[in-house]
Amino acid sequence: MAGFSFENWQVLVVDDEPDNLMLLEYVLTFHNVCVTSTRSGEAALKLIKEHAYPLALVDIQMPRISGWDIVKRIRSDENPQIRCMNVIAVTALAMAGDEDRIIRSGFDGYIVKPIDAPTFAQTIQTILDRVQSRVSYSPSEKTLFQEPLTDRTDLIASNEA
Amino acid sequence: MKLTLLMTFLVIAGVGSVTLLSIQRERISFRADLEEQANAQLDSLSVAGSDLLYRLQLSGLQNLINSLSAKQTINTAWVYDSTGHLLVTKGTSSDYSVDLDPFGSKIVGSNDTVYEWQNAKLVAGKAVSLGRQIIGAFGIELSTASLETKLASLRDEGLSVALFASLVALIIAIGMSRTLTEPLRVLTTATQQIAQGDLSHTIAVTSNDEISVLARAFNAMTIRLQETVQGLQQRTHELQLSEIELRKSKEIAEAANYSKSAFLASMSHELRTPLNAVLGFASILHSGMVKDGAVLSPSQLELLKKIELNGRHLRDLINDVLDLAKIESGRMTVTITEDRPETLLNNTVDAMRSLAINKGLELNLVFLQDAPEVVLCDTRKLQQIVTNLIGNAIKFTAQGEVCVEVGASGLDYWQIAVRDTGIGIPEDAREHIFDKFQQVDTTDRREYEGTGLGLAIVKGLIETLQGTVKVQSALGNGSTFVVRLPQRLDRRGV
Repeated sequence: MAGFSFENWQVLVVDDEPDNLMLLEYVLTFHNVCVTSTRSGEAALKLIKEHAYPLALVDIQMPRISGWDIVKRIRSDENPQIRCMNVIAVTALAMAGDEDRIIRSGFDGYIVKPIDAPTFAQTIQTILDRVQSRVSYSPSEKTLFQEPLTDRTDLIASNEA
Repeated sequence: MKLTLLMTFLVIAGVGSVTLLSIQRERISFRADLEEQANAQLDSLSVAGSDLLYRLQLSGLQNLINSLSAKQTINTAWVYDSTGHLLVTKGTSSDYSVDLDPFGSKIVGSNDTVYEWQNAKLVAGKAVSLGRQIIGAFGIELSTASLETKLASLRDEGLSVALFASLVALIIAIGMSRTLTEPLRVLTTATQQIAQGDLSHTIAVTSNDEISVLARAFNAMTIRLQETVQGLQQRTHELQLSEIELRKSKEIAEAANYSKSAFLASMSHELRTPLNAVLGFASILHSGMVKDGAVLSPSQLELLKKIELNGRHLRDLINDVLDLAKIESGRMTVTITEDRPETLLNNTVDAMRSLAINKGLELNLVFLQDAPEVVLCDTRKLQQIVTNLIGNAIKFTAQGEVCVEVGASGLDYWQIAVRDTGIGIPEDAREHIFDKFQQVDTTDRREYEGTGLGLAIVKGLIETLQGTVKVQSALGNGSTFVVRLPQRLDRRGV
């Protein structure tokens, strides 16, 4: 797809649900992003220790080691490269109050499931652009990726289409 | 104790004064007796001695008064002549306790017997007359020693009576204080104990006097008090029990509410997860992000659109149902921030503009002059309300415009009016428009797709923000939804 410059990015994707993991992988690899994926939190933590990923997309509700645990471990890691890595929650937690909790627990942003493939690709592009230009997220910008995806207008729009 | 002393003192005083009085009376009567006795002696001397006196036979007179010595009470005696000069005496002159000559003239000058009381003695004298002529006088001295002994014994007697009476009085007083003050002391003790909260205390009633009446009344009062206290305790106990019950049911309700919320959260998550795969993969197919580059045929694309459309409808239903459940369970949290309506509504309206343009409608935002510059509100919820109302207006308007008008409403409120030129709402449907799963014409559902929960959510959200919503409409002439909100949302009211 024109305009996307995902090449050479190594992104870690963690989701215990195989179809959802495959969906994220599919969209990312379609845009030539190098994806390392895993279905378990334990494996994710091990991978993070081995490689310094610039970005991790992490599901929250997972058995044993959850997304909460992963982000907590990342933020308290002794290695500053790991500690400062970008972690985005991709979650089906969308009740009122969830957003606050997610941002407060150390995620840089969150994307609500269900995702729309083109919008998701666009969001990832925005995130990677920011990572590349080393723009850090200010707290007020952290919810950036939540808004377009929960906007109901897209239903009405597609309805009319 | 005071009473005892007082009583003893009174008894001593009483007995003492009675004794003194009787001594005095005894003394008076004794004196009268002695005077009478003296008078009698003098009379007998007159009878026996008048002839001797007339004839001045001194030896005879001497014999006469000497014979008196046999009578013990008479100490001494003497005889005067008619002028009061001493003629004969018994004993020596030093024995006399009065100067005899003046006494003699005093007797002679008096018609009656003359008495003179000396210390422990009575001196008496009487003139002797013959016809009208006084021929002389006799004088005697009587001893009062017997009186003194008599009085002394009387005094001793009185004293011992007084002592005995005092003793008796003391005993009586002590006894009385026992019978009188002891019940009072018992009453006092009982009162103190009751004052300290010991209501089990009763007073033993032994007698039948006023004290026992008081004691009975006191016991009755104690019992009444006990009953009252018991009643109160029971009432308190009942209250405590019902409070415990209330707290229990409150806890149960809270637990139920909590598990309801937990259920909603997990439901939301569980429903979204498979939906994510459905909608995600459908959007991949739809957007042609397929790796092998295969393109769907138009009929396949048509079917795919139906999958997507229904998937999104399902997602919206989930969102709306969960929102509504959250509103209805009162678990909607409100985040109050300071907002500029101009910025906020411009952003919201801009997000909806493409939707309006797609339908060939105009979407205008108008700020009246009295529109507030700053409000305290929940940004996210306000956006949801306005987005929903604008979306609704666009949905039910085929041509014309949708206008959002912002202004003040009273002193502390502001309002957002969303006006459209759409199909309008018939009068009978207007009151049900905010109910769940209500759309004006169910036969038109395919035309006006939606969950039917939008307005119910809008109303719930507005009420959460302490506002109201009203609808004005005429069938075929469009509708106006007027949202009225406080300019400064107060956390306490939420």
